[in-house]
Amino acid sequence: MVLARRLAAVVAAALAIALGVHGVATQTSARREPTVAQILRPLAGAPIPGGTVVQLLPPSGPSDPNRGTWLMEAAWQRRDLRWQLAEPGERCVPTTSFCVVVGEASEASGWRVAARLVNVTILRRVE
Amino acid sequence: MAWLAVAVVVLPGAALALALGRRLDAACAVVASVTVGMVAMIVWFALADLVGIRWSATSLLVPAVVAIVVLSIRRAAIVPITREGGGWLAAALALAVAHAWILSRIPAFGWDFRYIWGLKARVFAAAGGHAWGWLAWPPNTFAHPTYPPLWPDLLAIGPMLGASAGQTAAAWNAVLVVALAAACWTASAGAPPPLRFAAAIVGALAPVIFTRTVQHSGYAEPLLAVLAAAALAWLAALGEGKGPVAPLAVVTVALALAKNEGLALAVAVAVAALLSVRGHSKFAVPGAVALTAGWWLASLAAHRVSDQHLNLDPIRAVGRVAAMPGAVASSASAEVIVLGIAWVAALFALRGPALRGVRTALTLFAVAVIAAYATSTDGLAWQLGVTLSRVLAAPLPGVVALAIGASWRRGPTEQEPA
Repeated sequence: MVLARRLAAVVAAALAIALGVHGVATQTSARREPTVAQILRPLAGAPIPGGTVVQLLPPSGPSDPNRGTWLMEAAWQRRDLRWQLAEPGERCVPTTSFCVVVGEASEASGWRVAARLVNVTILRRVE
Repeated sequence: MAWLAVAVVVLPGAALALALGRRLDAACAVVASVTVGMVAMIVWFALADLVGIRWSATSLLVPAVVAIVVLSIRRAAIVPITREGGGWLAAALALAVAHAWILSRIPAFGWDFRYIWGLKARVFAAAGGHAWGWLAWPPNTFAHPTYPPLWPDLLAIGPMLGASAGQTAAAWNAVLVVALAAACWTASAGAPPPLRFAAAIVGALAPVIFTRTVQHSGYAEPLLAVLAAAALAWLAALGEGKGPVAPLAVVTVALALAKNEGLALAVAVAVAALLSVRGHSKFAVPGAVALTAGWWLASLAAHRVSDQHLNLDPIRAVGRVAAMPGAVASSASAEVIVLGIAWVAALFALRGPALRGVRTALTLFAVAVIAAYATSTDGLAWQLGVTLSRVLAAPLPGVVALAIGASWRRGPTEQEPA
């Protein structure tokens, strides 16, 4: 029994080491950034005061399973803002002062364009 | 600056460990420096939050000041670090340092780093505290605001000093891989030096958790692995009647704040300690875990921070438990299969009355993990596919090291007949 236990311990160690070596040998050294990061990077300089609640209108439809990724990336780019996804219906609703539209957007009822950045348009609610 | 962010934690930890420890070999000193330093910093962060002091580059020096005061008071009590282990330990640590050098070169970039750990670190650093308002903001539930805060707290130190959270995570990973090798050396006590070397190499090349991919880079598992290995090693030592309870209590404080799995394992270790330690000191570990978890849960409740990732419907949970074997079988990668075999082999070797506490803790931990999968709102197959390898891999180095030590160390009831 003692021999079997020792053999089992050595097997466990060997498997763990082999898997570890495989991980070190095969891992990528290239740093990857999500595509949404490249699109939303201009938000870092968006003229929106810190602490503001902001709607985000992603380019995808409301049923897109990756819709949340846009929200997460917006939070990474501007962690000082309170982000929320625009309500399904694909338009900014007048519950916040600012709405960020990914892509081109024209002035809509109740909203004016505050800034056009690369890839994103900042809308400000008309008081 | 990322290395400075690590140094303000580890150096005070080393000073406190030297001043308060009884006997330290080199491997123990490495593990103690990291764990004591983490506990000192998180206690300071919690106190600062409570009394309204903003975390800042200057306030990061508080643990160092405390360490200097304690060191000067207890100068006479400082024990020299013993040279136990010699060349085998030095060789294992050298290999760990080589891996550390590789890990330190690329800033963290994984998905969960970007949208959970690193994001919260940047938010905490900017807010100068735990940013309860940000955590309570309902759309931010994607960042799992109720997760225990040790990893983002440690990462937040970097941005406070001018480093990025990604660079800080890389520097911490470098330190953690060396600490894990040292913890595995400690856990394998009783085995001949060449086998302890093998145990330390399991830590130095720990599978899965240090892999630099978008599924792992910058995640909290390396932290969990170090603390799990240290906690299980000290729990095993207590089972043999060796050493005081205090080091285990300190480690479980950090463990309870390192991921939900860490909290589950800390509770499991506390229950095991309660059952296996005699006298009043049996309450030290459960007390430490209750105080730590109580602080975090009370803070979340006070600031109305909740998580929407749980479904406590018992019928649904039972159904998910029943579906688990099939889901594991259908989603298991080669990596998960190898990890599973390693676990089975290591558990087979973990025999003997001295390890009853460790077996109790691991059993309770397994129950907690299954309960977490059963009550999650995520799809079972998907969740197992993206998390099971990490869940299995994080505690594995410590368990394998314990298995090596246990199978060569003989208790009085395990002696072979002459």
